[in-house]
Amino acid sequence: MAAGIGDMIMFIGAISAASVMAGVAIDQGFDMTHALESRAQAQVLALETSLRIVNDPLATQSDDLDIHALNTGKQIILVEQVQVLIDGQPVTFSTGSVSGRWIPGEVLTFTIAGSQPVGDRLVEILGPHGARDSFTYYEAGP
Amino acid sequence: MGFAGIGAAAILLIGAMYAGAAVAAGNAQASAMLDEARADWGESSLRAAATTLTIASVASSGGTVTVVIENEGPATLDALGVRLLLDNAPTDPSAWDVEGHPSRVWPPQSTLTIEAPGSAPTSVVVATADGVMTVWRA
Repeated sequence: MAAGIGDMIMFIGAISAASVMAGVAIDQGFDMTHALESRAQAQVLALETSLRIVNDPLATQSDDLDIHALNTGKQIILVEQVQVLIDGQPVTFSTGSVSGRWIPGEVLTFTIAGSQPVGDRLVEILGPHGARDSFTYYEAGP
Repeated sequence: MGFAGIGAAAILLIGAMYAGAAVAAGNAQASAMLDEARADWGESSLRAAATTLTIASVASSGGTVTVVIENEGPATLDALGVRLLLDNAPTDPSAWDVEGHPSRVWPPQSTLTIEAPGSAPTSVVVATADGVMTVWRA
């Protein structure tokens, strides 16, 4: 009788321990699956997000600097996720976009108010998911 | 080993198999997503690398600018994906045709004619959907 109870306790203990370990393994498996899919999704977004500055480098600029960029990717870019740098320094800009969404195939104009210093200028547009392009021009002054 | 050991081993085996199957399924789905995106990206990159455009002529008459562009590369392009900047300002075309037809299919060695409102520009930029650009200046 005592041996039977002991066997029963051993059985319940072993099954319980195995169930917990199996549950942990399954949980880890789902975590790994989720991580794989998230990483793949990030890589897909990086591949599908791109932009290209389409300014004529010789075009004279007015008092404000207008940078025209084309969304050459397959993803909508939120304007709030875009940064514009001039000579490596972030600048504030405005766009004509009302919705704040920059759709694929659309040329969006980034207007930087105020004149830029005379000389060679490097403009960079940084989008989400590593999308970026740069453009150099000579600023002749107002 | 006993019945308890066999039962525990079976539960562990089932758990491991289930976890392995979940990882394998996730990996397959992630790979499929990536493969498709890489294929699209590769196709777009190849098309961009193979695209050669030349602005053959720019004419202006009666408030309309007519730009004739030659597709000199081996890639077929999307005429509707072409963007136009006149004097560094994005301009929406009012009409376009490929070799006289209102088609969006722009085959190699053919010309795309775009009409847009405006007066004689001093600079014209044409960009394809893949971001390939060509510039014309007066």
